[in-house]
Amino acid sequence: MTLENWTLVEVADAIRARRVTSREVVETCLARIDAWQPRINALASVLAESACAAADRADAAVAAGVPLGPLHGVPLAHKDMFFRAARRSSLGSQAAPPASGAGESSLLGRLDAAGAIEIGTLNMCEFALGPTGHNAWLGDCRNPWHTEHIACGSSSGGGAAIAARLAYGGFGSDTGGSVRLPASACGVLGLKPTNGRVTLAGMMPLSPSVDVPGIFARSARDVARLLGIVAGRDARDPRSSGLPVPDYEASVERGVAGLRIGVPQNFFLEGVAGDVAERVAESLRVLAELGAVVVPVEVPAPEHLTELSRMLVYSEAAAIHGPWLREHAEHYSPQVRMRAATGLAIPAAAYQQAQQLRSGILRRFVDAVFSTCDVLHLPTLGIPVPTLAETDVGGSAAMWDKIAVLVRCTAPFNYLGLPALSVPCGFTGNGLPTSFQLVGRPFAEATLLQVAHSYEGVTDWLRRAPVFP
Amino acid sequence: MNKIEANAVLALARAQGHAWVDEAAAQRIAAGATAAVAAVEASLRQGEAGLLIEDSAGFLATLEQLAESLR
Repeated sequence: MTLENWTLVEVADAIRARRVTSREVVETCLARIDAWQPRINALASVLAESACAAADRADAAVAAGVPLGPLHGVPLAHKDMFFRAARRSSLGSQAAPPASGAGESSLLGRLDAAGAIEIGTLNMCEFALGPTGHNAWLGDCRNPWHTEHIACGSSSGGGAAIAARLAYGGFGSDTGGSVRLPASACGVLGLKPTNGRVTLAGMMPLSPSVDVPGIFARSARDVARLLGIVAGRDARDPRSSGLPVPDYEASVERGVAGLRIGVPQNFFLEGVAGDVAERVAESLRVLAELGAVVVPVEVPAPEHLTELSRMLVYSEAAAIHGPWLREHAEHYSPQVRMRAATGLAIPAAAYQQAQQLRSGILRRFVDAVFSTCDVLHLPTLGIPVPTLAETDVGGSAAMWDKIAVLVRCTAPFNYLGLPALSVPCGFTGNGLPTSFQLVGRPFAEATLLQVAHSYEGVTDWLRRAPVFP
Repeated sequence: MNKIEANAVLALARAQGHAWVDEAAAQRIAAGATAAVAAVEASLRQGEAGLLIEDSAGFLATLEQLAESLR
């Protein structure tokens, strides 16, 4: 197997064991970037010089025998919205406004401390507000499996870059499906952790009560390693949880025998395209053969969850963008302008009610669903990945319906704050990847990863890579 | 729940200094806001009538209370 197809954990362990140098690994990624970037536009910036210098320092540290972090010398790439003091993030915008008081990203600080190397920043939808991957300013991100198709969004570059092997993993943000959708569209794993599991400090806010950083990677063990490094209380983020961080990597080996996997009987499977439904059903059969127990689950009142989530997102986005939008509306594309402004027309009392209802709706959901099963199993994206042209609706009247179709199975779990993992499970008739989604109790990331690890052990979807023409 | 009308959106936008909001934009914004407010109204109807006194600041605590036991 060639170096670019190694997983993050494999390459980290090989650097540590001196079977490969960090410089070789970084140069492999840079060669991939040279080839792929003009086709898919997955990166907002390439940090070749600093990455090579960091790789040389990493190799010198290996030679010196000093203690090494769990990501020592491994190149990663993150959505261009995690702030560093030394540079200006694009935020997917033509002219990103200053983000006063944001500070340096705590998440990047934790990755730095673990020895990771940043090889580039990832393309994204403007201000993380869009599920397709279109970007009028930085150029559209394209799907590496077929460049006429979307990579989904808003962390569009994350799915495309990790699938095309431009980096070994990376972070995006997920406010309505923005990690899980691009992961599904591009055939990699995408984790939305429980809200509060990972620090938000120094990440561009879209909707602080809903936002959560998420992970792209090509194996469950890779996701486990990355999550273990960034999870846990951050004194700079009052929304971060102080609950203990389990050993995610050790947990992936637990298997699925006896685990109850719930299949929703209402809402989430309605309107799912035939070939998506078939692949998702096949994945369920695989898990059953591994010893999981499949149980039907009735999900309480799912039909309003997406709009409740939007209530929070639009209100908070309007608060954040209001002053800049008022003065510089021309710096926003029409769709983002209108979505960010929707909160201007939402009554404050309705926003507050959506916040006050949130805990009660979560309790009802958890009691009803997770008394019956350990994890919920459903599609991530209920349709085959559409083309750029099919989803290029701008700010037209069609935008709400187009967006609703894309986020139907993802946004509900943003309102609920629950952990959710998108797992590739094959290809639809158009040759694009599709995935199933696992949803667990709060802070049940380890359980989701153990299911994904078991599944990837007997399937090869995550080992398949788009072929450069 | 009554629809949020485009002319109301237009007035609100003007009041907040958003001169760029025209009639077409107001219609799109009204559609999005109406759907979101309707979801809140529907969710309120599913609960008991009375004072809504849940502390919205307690969401993280609720997540932690409902957490899977961390192994």
